[in-house]
Amino acid sequence: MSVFDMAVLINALASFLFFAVVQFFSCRFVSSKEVLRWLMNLVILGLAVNIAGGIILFLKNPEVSAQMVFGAKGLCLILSAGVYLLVTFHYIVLVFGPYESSVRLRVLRELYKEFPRGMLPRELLSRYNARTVVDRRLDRLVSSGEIELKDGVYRVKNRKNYFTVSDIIVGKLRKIAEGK
Amino acid sequence: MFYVLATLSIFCIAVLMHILWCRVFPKNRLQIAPFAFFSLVGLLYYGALAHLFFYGSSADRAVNLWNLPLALSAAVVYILLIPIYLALYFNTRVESPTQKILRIIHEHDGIGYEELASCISDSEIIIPRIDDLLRCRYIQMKEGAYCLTARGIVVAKALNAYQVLTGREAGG
Repeated sequence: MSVFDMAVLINALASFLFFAVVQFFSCRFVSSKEVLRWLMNLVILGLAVNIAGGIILFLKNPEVSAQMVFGAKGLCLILSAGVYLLVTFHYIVLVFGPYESSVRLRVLRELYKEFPRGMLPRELLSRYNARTVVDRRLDRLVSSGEIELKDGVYRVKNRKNYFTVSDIIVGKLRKIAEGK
Repeated sequence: MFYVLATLSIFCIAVLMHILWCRVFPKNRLQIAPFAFFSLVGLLYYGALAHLFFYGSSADRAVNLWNLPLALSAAVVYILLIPIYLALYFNTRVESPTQKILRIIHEHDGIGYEELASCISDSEIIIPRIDDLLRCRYIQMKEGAYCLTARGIVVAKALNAYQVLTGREAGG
């Protein structure tokens, strides 16, 4: 492993650890409604830490800085920020996101509450159903500013949010992959 | 720069190969195995390419932006990109409840709560996911009731531990 690799990966890992620790200790104070906005702010805070760490590591550290040729500092900064964002995305998509919003995991938890008795389908659906799912998501989306509630009507407020961008990419991918 | 461009190019080729595969051999289910194969072949190819490039350029020891030794960081980026593509690909088949809600609101250009709630039923959101849990043996049907299997208990316990650690209310 080269000194450049080491600097890039250590900086990315350190900023992810910062993100994870802050997320871990602050998430208990954040309501489900506020979670999207809070998570986005936290990712940006981690990115700021990553860039600050990168500047110290690549620009101020004489051992690394001495070996840096023209343009290398910028490339290392970008690469380190990229690795940080990718790792954070994985944590959100694979750990935090499913815990926060997975229907399957919620079903498992509801059943665990009654373990070993089990639950009849109607009993399960009376505790957790489509209306609960809709209510939680509407609260979250209104709070994060993705949609607005005005005079009892929900409207998409922010046309270029994470979900719409993701939808556009997925739609294009579906068209290309399936030829539809 | 070489290593980063190499991994990004190889990743794009793996994605294109997968898309081509899906078009040539269309199936009514997710085709993850072909992409796993293409991305693994891509990773091995990158390993060989990086090895050749590193030793090929070692005669000229001067480090410049082009041959900046970032082989491992570039490989990490490649590996991290694989699940992101798979998540996007997964979404081409399965629409999440949030995406469905946004789509309905967008299509109606504004909608009231009752009308929106009536568009989303248990049979679309909850039942298919319960069926998935049954199929994957996280739960089982016993005398008309859903019960956790050993595998389901492990997941539920892990979720409870995560809740104790983070202090968050149950999600869903």
